[in-house]
Amino acid sequence: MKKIPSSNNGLIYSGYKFNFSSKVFAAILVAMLLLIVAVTPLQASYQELEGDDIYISALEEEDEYLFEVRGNALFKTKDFEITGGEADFHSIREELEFRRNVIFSSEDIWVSADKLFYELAQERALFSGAARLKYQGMDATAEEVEHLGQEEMLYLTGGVEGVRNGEEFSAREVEINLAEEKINLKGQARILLPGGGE
Amino acid sequence: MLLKELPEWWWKRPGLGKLSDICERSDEIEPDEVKPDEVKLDENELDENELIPIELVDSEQGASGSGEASWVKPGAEQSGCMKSGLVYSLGVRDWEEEPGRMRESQAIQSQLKQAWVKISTKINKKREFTRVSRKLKKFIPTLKFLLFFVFFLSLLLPVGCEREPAEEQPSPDPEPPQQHEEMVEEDRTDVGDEIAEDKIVGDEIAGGEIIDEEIIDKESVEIISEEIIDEVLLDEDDSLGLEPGQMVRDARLRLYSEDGSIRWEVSSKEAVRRERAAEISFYPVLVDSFTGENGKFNSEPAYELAGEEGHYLEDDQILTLKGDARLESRELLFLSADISWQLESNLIFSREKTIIKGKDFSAYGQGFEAEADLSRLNLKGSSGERARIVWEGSIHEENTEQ
Repeated sequence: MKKIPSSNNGLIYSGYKFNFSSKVFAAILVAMLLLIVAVTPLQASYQELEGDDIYISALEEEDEYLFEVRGNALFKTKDFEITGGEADFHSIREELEFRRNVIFSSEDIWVSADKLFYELAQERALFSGAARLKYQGMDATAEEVEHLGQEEMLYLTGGVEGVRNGEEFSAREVEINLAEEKINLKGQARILLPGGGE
Repeated sequence: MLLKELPEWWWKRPGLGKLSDICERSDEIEPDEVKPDEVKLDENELDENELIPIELVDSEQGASGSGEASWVKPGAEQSGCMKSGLVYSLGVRDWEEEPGRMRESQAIQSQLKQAWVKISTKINKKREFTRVSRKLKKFIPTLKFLLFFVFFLSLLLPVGCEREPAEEQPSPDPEPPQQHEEMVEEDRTDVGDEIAEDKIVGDEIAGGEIIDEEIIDKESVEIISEEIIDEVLLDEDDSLGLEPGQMVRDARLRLYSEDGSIRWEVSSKEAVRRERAAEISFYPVLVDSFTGENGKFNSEPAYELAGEEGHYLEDDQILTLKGDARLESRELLFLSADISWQLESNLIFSREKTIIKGKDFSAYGQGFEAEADLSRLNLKGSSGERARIVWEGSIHEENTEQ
């Protein structure tokens, strides 16, 4: 390519003008892309606690607080959402507690209960009091529903009764492997087939 | 966004500003070279037109500088510059003759508040001394004649006469408070130049020195001022029906607990007493709260509250910061508007939009209510917009990083 002297700061190659401002523009473009990439993970781990009133109390450690939400409590992340009448979040223990008409909903799981106790560090959620689970065509009630996020397991305990794809079932305990999508009924397990046989 | 709407002053910490701000009118400036966070003064006695040694310390950058500044008596040209390339003035022009200059000097006072406070305490004493000296100067020829006459007599008589030392040297002590108060009661229009008291105790602000030591032992309010100017401040809004009051410059108002600890201190460049409404207004207002845990009080401020203007209603015992206001503690920063402090219930509250910034979260509400020690606060939502707290990033991840 022939280099043609230019009157301005740029150089012209066979009709293509590549000057300093183009480089700056390209650099800005790259910087913006990097910024978008950098910001995306932050947005992904965005968490929010909402309510009609929020009480914030200082805990014994610096910069640690107890957040008490009163009225229409909502906790949401990119993966799931929890609603309830009221909620408490303890920042040192990393424990979240929801009470009154609690509903947990994610892409695959829907749970309602009177109370939810959620340990964020262990990703362990324990629903208690008239718990009800909806998962892949299964609708079941139990005294307690325990969700272990790291193990990808669900445990229903205490008088489990429900319907799955038209089949009624009952058991003392139901174990659901979310990763393998396996359901295991334990203790006096019964399945009532649609035709009437057990 | 509320944040974008906030004025620039919002983000500046009250108190000492950059030295470059102070020196911007000088040709000798080297801006941003030193940002002092402390101004120390030499303990030497000050004389008018005398250069005062000053030391500036910047703990952040480990920089320090020393230089000189001068005090110029009212009415004279101001001068006095820091050496070492840094320049500022502590001089004050004649306020009454040049109101514009008054504001300029006032800005300087505000920037160098620490220095100003220390200097002006001494200056007030010096002024008192100077005023008495001027009066006595008129009698110097007479004194000289009397001294000569007494000396002549002592030569003639075998037994010498005792001289009157008090007439030779004026007493540097300020006038007794009672005399001062009487003077103010008799003729308030002459108070402007005459009153240079720097302390008023009690819940009265007008009329010079009012001291009631018993109040200090109780829960009380103390008003301290460097200057009292007997200017009649006419309120622009006559519909308020406020009586014209006095204005106090560089005022501080303190509230004491029953055991004599300072509960909080309000500082302002200007404070105006509106007598009929039992109200004191501050322009701007800075509140240092010494409230500690379990009802105790700290020696250092636990947090500060700042706004463009504040109004203290004495009867209701409410201090309200009108307009945008900021509350900053070590852990939390509140950005809100029309923040009120109800002393009786010891509650701080606002009904306006509020943002609270914590170390790893931001809280948004339509008002807040907090106990004075900030140990517990209520962030309020409304029907249209609920209160919410946002963590940028996972709560668990942030705790793990810590």
